[in-house]
Amino acid sequence: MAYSDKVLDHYENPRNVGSLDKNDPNVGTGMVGAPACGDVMKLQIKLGKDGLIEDAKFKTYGCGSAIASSSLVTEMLKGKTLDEAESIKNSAIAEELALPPVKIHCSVLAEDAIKAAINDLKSKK
Amino acid sequence: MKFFEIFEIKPSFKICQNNLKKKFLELQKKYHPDNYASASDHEKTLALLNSSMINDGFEILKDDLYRAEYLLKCNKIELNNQTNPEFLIKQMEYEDYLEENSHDLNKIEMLHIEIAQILECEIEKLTILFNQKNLVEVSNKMNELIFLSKFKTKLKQRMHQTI
Repeated sequence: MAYSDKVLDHYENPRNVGSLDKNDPNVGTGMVGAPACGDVMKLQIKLGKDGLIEDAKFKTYGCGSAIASSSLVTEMLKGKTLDEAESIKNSAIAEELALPPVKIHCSVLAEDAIKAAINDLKSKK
Repeated sequence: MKFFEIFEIKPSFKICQNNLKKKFLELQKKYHPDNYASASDHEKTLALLNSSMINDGFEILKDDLYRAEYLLKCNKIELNNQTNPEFLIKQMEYEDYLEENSHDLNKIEMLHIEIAQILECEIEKLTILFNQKNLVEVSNKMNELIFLSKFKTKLKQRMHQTI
């Protein structure tokens, strides 16, 4: 399948790959999986003192679209409030990356990962 | 259950692979296009349809996971689309381990053996669940099995690349 240039760019140069300390009270970790394709995605956000997301890291094992979706999301999250982060929709991710219909579920996975990370962070407060 | 009917096998998770293979060869021979060389167009089309259905059925029934999924589908049970969070952590650990040791053939081989054993064990558990008619629990287990099976294939590919 042909990937869009944006997917290829994120796939070849993924942004913010790595991990944050999951035990840090200001770090939220979201772990989600797409059972049908065996993908697994970990997204972590770190909330700064000003209530804005100061850092975001991801680690994804999966197809190019899943990697690109999570990489893009870490860029989108930085500088946002939790409410703004929570309102990020998968359609925005899919549109930005020009994902074909069969890969929309990768953007859904990234949206789920954001929600899971925020829930984890909130449960620590 | 139509695939089980075509192969005249009692719908069940545990099936005799020899029987399936024998029946497949028999049916394949029966509907082979060569037998329909002088038949009408309608009969030719029908034979072709039968033949492709036989192939599809064989692919599904011979594979443990495809057969399990097919049985769930026949019983109108959807696959659970949520993987248990503990298993996701395990999944991530396996992938991390493979990434860290991607050039160590020995370690990849050991992991391949481990995954193959786990998979075998889990398929045994699946047999028990099917016998108990606990299809909901089967559907909950499927995600883990699908991952293990795909991961095992991935390890095998890596082993070939590393050699």
